[in-house]
Amino acid sequence: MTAAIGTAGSPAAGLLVDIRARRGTFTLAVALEVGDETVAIVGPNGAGKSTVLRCVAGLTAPTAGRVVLGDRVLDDVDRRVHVPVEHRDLGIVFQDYLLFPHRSALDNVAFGLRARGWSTRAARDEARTWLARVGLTDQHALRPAALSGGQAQRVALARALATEPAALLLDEPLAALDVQARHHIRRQLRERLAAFDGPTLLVTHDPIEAATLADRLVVLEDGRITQTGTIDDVTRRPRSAWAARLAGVNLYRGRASGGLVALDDGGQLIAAGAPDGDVFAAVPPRAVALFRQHPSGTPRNVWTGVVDGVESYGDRLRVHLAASPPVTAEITPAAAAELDLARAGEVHVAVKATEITTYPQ
Amino acid sequence: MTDVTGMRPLVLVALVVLTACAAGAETTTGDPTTAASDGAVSGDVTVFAGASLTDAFTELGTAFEDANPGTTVTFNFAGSQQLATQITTDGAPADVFASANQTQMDVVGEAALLAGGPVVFARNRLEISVEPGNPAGIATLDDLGRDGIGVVLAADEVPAGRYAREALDAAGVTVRPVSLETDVRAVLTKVSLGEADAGIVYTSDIAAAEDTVEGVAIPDEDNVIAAYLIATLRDAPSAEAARAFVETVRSEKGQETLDAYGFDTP
Amino acid sequence: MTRGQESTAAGIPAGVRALGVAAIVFLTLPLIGLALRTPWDQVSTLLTEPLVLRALRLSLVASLASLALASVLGVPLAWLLARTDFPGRRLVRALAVLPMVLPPVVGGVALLLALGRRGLFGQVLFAATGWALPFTTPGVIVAETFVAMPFLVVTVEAGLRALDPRFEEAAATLGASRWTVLRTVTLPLIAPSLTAGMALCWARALGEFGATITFAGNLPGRTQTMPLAVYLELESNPAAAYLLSILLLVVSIAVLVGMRDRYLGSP
Repeated sequence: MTAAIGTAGSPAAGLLVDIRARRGTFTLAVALEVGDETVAIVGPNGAGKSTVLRCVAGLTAPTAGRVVLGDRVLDDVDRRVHVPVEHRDLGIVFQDYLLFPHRSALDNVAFGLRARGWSTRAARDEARTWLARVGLTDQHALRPAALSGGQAQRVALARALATEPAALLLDEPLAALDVQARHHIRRQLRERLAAFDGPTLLVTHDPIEAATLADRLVVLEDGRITQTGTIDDVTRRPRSAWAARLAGVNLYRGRASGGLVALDDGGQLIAAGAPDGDVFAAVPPRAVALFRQHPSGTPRNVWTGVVDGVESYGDRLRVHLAASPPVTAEITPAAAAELDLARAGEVHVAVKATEITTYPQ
Repeated sequence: MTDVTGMRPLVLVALVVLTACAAGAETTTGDPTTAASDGAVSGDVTVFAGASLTDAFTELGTAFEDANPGTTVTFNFAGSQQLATQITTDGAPADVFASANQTQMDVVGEAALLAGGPVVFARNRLEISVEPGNPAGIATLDDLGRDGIGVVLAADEVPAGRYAREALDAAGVTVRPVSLETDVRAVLTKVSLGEADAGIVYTSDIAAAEDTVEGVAIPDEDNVIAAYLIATLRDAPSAEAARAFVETVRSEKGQETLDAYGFDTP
Repeated sequence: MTRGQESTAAGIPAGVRALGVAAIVFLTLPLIGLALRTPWDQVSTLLTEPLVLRALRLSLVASLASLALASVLGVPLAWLLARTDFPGRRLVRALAVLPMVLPPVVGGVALLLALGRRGLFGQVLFAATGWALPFTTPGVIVAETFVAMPFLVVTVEAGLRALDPRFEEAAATLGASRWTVLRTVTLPLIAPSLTAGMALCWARALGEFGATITFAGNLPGRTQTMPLAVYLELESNPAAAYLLSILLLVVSIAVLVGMRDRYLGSP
């Protein structure tokens, strides 16, 4: 069971997930709490994010642990408690929406209410209200196949919200949309989530989506939570390779002693103010200077490597170097030209000690 | 997508041609049999015979083949009414027709398809078949009219069915059969399986069925004597062998065999 | 390259084309023959003959009842085969399909041995009530269901397999009970397969002969369905037989055309 649980809002009204689940080749182990807020589970594909949602939804049974929503125990493997899917009172927006193709948009939204015994008329009236709330007024009679991606997404959201569930789950809610639609829908979704009363757990591999929609992030890699916090926390102090990529920094692990960090993967760095013990060391690519000759002057960290790859990054270039340790530098095209990167041969890397951020593991 | 419109006219032409052929079909004659110098015949003989003759004729066929090496006897056993239809309407290539009654032989005769004139070669009587042990306690034709007795008859078109009706009418018994089978052997099967309490079949059928059914005799005054007729056919592919087979059936040996299978011999 | 193998401009080798034509002729000639021989001018009088009417009525009643029975039993079976995994599932599916490949008369004999008066289970029924299935209209329904149900099961199973189970999951998450999911999501979404399966099943039941005559016997009004009437009346009343045949043919064609190739596979 991993640590790093953050709470906002009282646990009594919130969602508690503390489970282990088999997921293909590895076992997932996740513990988190969601209060009256939106928490995004982020991480690389295959990390097990959707499995967590499925366990909460009751579609997959965890092999160990508990799922608790408010004062209701939905899953308790030790006590053999497993509340069936249809009784969990959750609203779920699926990755490809899963709108019933044989029903109109209106009837899709009304479905959950009808399942709860509402009359057709009452359910449809309520459904109309919800569709209006997500900004759809003319599409009621259309079948899902006739809806645009953005419209379908909103219908799916309305359908999930219409039953006023105790918690909301979203699985890659914007992934199926094109970039244009995504931007527009994202804002609207943010409003809807803010208006929703209760815990919201969303899963995404897109950090921007996470940043805009969620109050807190939980980083899941290989079935384990590697970091939680706000988007700021995660990008300022990334604690995993994925978070580092998200933040766009070079991340190293090592053991620090008196300002000298011995890196796990080889090499060492001199970092100002490094706390003793196991640390992360983050080096922003902009802080990495490249030279063809051994540099003179003050940088305390100098090592050599060879160019491994170059890619454009906005109006700059990111240069990957195979070295000990490997590093990515961000330089101007002019600088790149001066360095003549196409030519083989050694490249000198220099990083000032003051540019390195270190923090305990 | 390949263009198959060119095929349509081809298909239509083929269909029209073949339909025209079918409308004006004639039966064809096959190879004639050869008569060997010592009088024995050879060739393939096709015999259409009523279902009740199955066991007796099969034995006669084997005997015929043994006596006439070079011959093969092929049988088609079915309800006589079906066989008559097959010969007249369908132009089936039969050499010999053995019918369980006059009516069906007449059908073939009226179509002018007989060669050698029909001869009575055996007779049969009706008998009531019941399950071994006679659990329903059937003793007479009257018992067949009892409530709750499930009686199976052959359909009216089948000779055995018609005879059964005659016998029942003559005895003044009203029977509501539970099923009308397509041939007399099917009647026997239903009784031997225990599905029916009784069925009216031929004496020869009961003899052939051995232990699977028991017979309850019908007294002569109530019984119907069925006359079996045999004839060679006009368009027989193996005319010589056909005649020889009929001779075998009517010979002393043949009559003995029929007798052994429960038929009455004239 | 020989002439027969030469590719035409349209892409079909001429030899293949000829064989295809022959196949079409082979299949349609019997049907054309039947249509030509049918006494169309006597249709109205023939239709009022008691023989024809009884056979028609019985066939209709029995085949529809078989369809109902096959649906009630077959849809759940198809569901089990498509959605669950239990030991012996392959064997069960083979058994479910068996009547399709079994000669119908053999099926009839098997039914007698199982459900007849002296049959394995039939004797229990007979001992208790004095009633048995053979020679009765319910017996006809049982025989027809036996041979026709596999068509329904196979088609519906294929339809269920093709259905994305996540729709049913979504419905469950919205609070629908399993029964509601089945009623409002599963069945509507497999409606094409279900319809195709039912149509095939009904057509097969309507045309069933061997099992019916062996198990239920033949009695006008009670067990003589249209195919049996055709068989028996062929000698004595060919006009009626042809008419009944053409009726059966027309119904079969209507069903197949109506299904628009859906029986060839999942929708």
